[in-house]
Amino acid sequence: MFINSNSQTISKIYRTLQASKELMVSSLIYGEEFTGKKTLAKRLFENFVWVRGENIDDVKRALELNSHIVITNFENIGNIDLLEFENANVVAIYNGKTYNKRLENKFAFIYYFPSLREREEDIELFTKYYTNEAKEIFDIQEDIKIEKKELDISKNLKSLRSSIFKTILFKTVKREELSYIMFNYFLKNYKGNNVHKEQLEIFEKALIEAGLQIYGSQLKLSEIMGINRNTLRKKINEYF
Amino acid sequence: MNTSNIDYKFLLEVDNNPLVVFNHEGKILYLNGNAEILMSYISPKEIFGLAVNYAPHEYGTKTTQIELAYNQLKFYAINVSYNSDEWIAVRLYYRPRDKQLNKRNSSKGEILTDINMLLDVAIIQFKIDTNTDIRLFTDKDIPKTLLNQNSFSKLLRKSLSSFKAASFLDIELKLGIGEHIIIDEKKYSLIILKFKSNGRYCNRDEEIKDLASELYLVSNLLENSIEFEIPLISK
Repeated sequence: MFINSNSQTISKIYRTLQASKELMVSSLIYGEEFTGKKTLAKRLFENFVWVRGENIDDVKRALELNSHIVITNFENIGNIDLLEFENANVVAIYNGKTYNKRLENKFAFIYYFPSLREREEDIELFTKYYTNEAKEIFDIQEDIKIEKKELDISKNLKSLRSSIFKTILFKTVKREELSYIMFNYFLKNYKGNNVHKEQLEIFEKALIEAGLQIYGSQLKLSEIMGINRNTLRKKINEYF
Repeated sequence: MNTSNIDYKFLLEVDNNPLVVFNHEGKILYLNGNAEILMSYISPKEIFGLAVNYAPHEYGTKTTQIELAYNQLKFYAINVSYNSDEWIAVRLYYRPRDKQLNKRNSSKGEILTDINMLLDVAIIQFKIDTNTDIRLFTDKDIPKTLLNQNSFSKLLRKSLSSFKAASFLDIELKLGIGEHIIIDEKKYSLIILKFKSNGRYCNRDEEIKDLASELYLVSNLLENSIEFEIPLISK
């Protein structure tokens, strides 16, 4: 069995859904957005008819014409009592942390799909996966270490992927690319009558912060930067 | 006709209602076939206690309407009779089964179903977030029966979740030997599904009973167990 998860819970959900594939039962998979519910369903029910929950008439029609159906975005369906689940294998994907009594009474089986916060074991797996993906897309050969604090899992896989791509891009940016990024930024932010001082901070603050991290002492850094120690201290007081 | 040839003992023997005759010390002098079944759920001492409590003050007979339940056996009345100090007879009257079983409308969505398959899925699902130790005693050769798979799975889920906090759960699925149910004047064998543990949540019992009733199943919900009688309908 191959699924994109190291989580025991998700393996169990997968196995149960697989076992119920041949039955005429309805299953509700609920949980936060971007946790992988749809990906899991695609692996299992690719040959089912897929319909989105935004338009209830489409869902009703799909249920009338087919016996094996996946309904995504089920949270958008207002009156679930209008749907007939008899003699059909229905899998509904519901973006939400909780479900109500009506849903509970409608579905035969209900599965809670845990968020990334609840499956630490998957954060490492997906970080590795997205890092490789980003390196391939950006054609990066070097090893890049991503710290845990650089990962954003507030929106589960979506924010995790986005934070990894950004981190990798930022960590491997070349001088001319940086210049191009700043050029585009300045194009949008050339306002006021003190532009030089205001925008210089972007460059100087990052330059000093990185220098302090590498060389530790201000004395050493002032030598490396080739500026007076007092000037450096003044800038540190100004920026930090 | 000469009534002296009538075998009254035989009639008592085959009576649907349990009949037990005790001596004055509570020792059983006679019990009919249905009383033998009753004895597997209640001790002779308890039945004798009932006889003493509900006995008429003088020689004669007295019937008292009272709801009594011993597992799935439910009674609505008790009759105690004696005309000698040597013996006392007690008869319990079965409460008729839920009336929906007298008439069964073919429910929408019923298909021939292997109950074992539905039970397996319900158990795997139950195990996703519970540590309950499940012991299965299932007859894998139970024939398929007409069932609404979606509703029955709901019933299984709700029943199992009432044992969520239990340390162990015994699940038994078997054909009821010699047990039948008559629906629409047709006789059907029974499949017995029983969940038993050392405790369970009972707060959703009404939902379980309602769902069982919609599925034309007889349900028996007790403090530590849930039992369903499922008519074996193959066509």
